[in-house]
Amino acid sequence: MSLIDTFDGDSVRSRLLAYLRERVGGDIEVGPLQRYTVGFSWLTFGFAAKWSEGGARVERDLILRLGPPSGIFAPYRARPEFLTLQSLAGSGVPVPRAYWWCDDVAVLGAPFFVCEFVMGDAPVPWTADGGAAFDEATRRNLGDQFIAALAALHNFAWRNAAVAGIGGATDPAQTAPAQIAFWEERMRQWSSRRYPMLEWALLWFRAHAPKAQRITVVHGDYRIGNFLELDGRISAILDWELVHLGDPMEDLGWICLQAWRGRSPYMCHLFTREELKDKYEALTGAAVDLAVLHYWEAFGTFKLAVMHLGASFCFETRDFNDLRMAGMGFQMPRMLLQLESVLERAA
Amino acid sequence: MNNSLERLIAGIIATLRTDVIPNVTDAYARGQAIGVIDLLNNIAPRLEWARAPLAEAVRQRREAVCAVRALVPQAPAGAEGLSEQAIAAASAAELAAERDRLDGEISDLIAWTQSESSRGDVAAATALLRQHVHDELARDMKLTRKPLFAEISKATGGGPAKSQN
Repeated sequence: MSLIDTFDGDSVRSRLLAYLRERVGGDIEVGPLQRYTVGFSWLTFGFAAKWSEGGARVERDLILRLGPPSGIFAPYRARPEFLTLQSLAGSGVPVPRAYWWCDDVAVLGAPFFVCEFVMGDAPVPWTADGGAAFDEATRRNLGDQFIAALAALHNFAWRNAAVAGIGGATDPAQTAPAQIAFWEERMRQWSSRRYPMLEWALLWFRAHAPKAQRITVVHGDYRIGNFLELDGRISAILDWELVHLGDPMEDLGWICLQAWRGRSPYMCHLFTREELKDKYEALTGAAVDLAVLHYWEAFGTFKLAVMHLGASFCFETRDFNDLRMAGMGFQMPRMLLQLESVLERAA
Repeated sequence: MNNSLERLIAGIIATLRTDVIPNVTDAYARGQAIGVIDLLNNIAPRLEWARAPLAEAVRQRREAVCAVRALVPQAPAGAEGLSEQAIAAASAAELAAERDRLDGEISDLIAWTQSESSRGDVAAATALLRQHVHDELARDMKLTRKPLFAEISKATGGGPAKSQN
């Protein structure tokens, strides 16, 4: 366990300054760290920095992302997210420019990376009345961009890029079994109580695991809430902590979760399932098998239920006092009923 | 999974102390927030989870297990549970442990039925287990309030401050 308080901006700042001096090979000014209190997992700090690069003065607003020892997915690794952002720079996927990363916890007390601050707001799936999050024109505009960015991600030629080193399953027959094993391991780690609905789901997922039609970079949490929008444009896709190589249909299934749309008929409040299928197929040339899509939607619902267990576990055992985490634990019956419903549709 | 009452109360107090009270500028409101901590400190040693829903959860699971075992007596046996007498005298924590043990036994029965040929009594046992799981979730939902995620997001969000989550 680190002795550095990763939640303390002042403590983190002095260490960050020393680290950045080494990285830029000279002096660097780092402004106060402002902690953003959103998100459940990585800690996010914003800061201004000034340094020299090739004789020119550089001024940037930057983001520091730290994976705290008390976070849900601890122990964290910054490298996969950094390599992904670095590889995708300049592609059709809008991502913040990545500057530096470090997985040595001795430096800041936790793995971290530094990237560009991107302006924009993150629309969230939860609305006061459970209804629409966007007006019709915004929905269509953002929906098209959201699918286009996903298609660009899945069409990205990863094999000769640094992102090839992020890990995951590259055997088409093992993409689903690898994800099942990954999330089952976390489920057992986070809950000694066995939930019959989750156990039932695991048996079904194993018995019906599809073979991937192709292997791509998979975001792992591609949804409303994880992109920034500025003046009608998606300015960045964020939260790459679950990125891996695998079956791209996993991302499409995740988009279709009930949790991201409430009572809206639109996936992620953006498009119908059919619109997603048609537009994605047109942009990628890859067919979307609806049975496979339903499989990954069901698996995504299972994964989200397991994340709820993780939030409870984290609150209970790691002194992580964010009350939203404890609140998620109380929503397990809702999650499990959603899982039952989506499994019935998929079967 | 519900967190333990002890941890929930400790977490609520810590959040009030660390994140809320330092940012409350109105003196009366700050005093009331400290009053909440005072009350929680005194309520905590007097609290346990409601016993009646836990006793009902145990009863429903025992009935389901008995009904399934009557249909498929060849299914592997589960671990010994609490006697009727012990259940009647059990604390909320003991009932929660018995509920969890029974969920484990039901999970094992589900796995067993799925590994067998799904015909006759096994199919009937599967249907019974499926109905039980659904009914228990529906019963738990009656205790589950709609999450306030929209309100929380509205309170914490807006502008660039939320833009890099």
